[in-house]
Amino acid sequence: MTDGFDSSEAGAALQLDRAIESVASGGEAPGVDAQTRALIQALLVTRRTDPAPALREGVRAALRAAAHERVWLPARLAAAVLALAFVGQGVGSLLFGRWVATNLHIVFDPHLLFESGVALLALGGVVMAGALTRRLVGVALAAGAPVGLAFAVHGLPELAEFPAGGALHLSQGVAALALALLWVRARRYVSRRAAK
Amino acid sequence: MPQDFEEIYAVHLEHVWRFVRARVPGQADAEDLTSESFARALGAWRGYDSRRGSVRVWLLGIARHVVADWWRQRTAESRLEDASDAVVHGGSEPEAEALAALTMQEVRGHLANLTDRERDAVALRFGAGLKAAEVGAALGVSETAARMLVYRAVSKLRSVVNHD
Repeated sequence: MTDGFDSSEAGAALQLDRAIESVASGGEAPGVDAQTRALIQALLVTRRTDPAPALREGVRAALRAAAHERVWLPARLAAAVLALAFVGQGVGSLLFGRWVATNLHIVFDPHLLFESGVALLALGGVVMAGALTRRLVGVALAAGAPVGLAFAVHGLPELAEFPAGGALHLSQGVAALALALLWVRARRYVSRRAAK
Repeated sequence: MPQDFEEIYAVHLEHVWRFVRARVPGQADAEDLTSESFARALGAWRGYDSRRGSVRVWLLGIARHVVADWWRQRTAESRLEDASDAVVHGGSEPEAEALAALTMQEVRGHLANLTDRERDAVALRFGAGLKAAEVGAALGVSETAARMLVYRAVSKLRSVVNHD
């Protein structure tokens, strides 16, 4: 089968292929001249090149590092969702405080909403730092998970009178719980690997 | 790291290393790119489908992309400079090896005359030791087309070596 190639060229290619196989296994190079044989031998040098012993350990270390990064990814994703939920609530407090107060049937207090909005943005920033940097996932968990769970418990009754707010608090609770569980899972994996 | 991937890494390290070594002039760069290839393969391991080809061909496909990315970052000028600095290690017959290594250095200098695809075919066939059918699978072409790529690459190399 020449697959549309010129049959004489395809024949020469097949002959070269056999010569490569033969030279690689230490035999003669049937049907090719001395210069082609020398070229084949030169190109085959790489095949006899063994990796340095340090490479094996280097690749193993790179794989360990890659696996380590991957095992934290789900927890970091949960941290990102939680951070966005905090930032969303912070922005809502700063920009739409009157609308929030009206829906919750409470007195609009600009001073309180401004300060809580700024605090939520700061908290969102800390949790987002954990989403972006593996070493800070623990910080994101410590700072964000308790607040997220507390907001969820406190805000769930809102679902009836202010569905948007209730849904936001529910998402904070789910993300906080997911962050906690995924963090524990990743920690256990890392500890098991370290023990091995 | 999954247990099965540890075994795969242990079995195929040499093939990937030899392919990368054949495509990259510097020993240290080849080591870095080999590590990078396996790190990327680990990330894609869940997506590996054995019905689409052997693990070795799959790994070499990833290594090919890693090497291509590396080359993209370098100019053709630095390619030739690096090639002249290349050193080849290993082997069992010192005198013959020294002679062959010298020739390989000369040949490396001429690899820039090949297309990327031809260089890949040469590295897969000569370096990684794949059969023509496997080279074809790695490059997404037929066995005959893979043989033709190698043949044309060797013919080009022959002609530029002669020209010198």
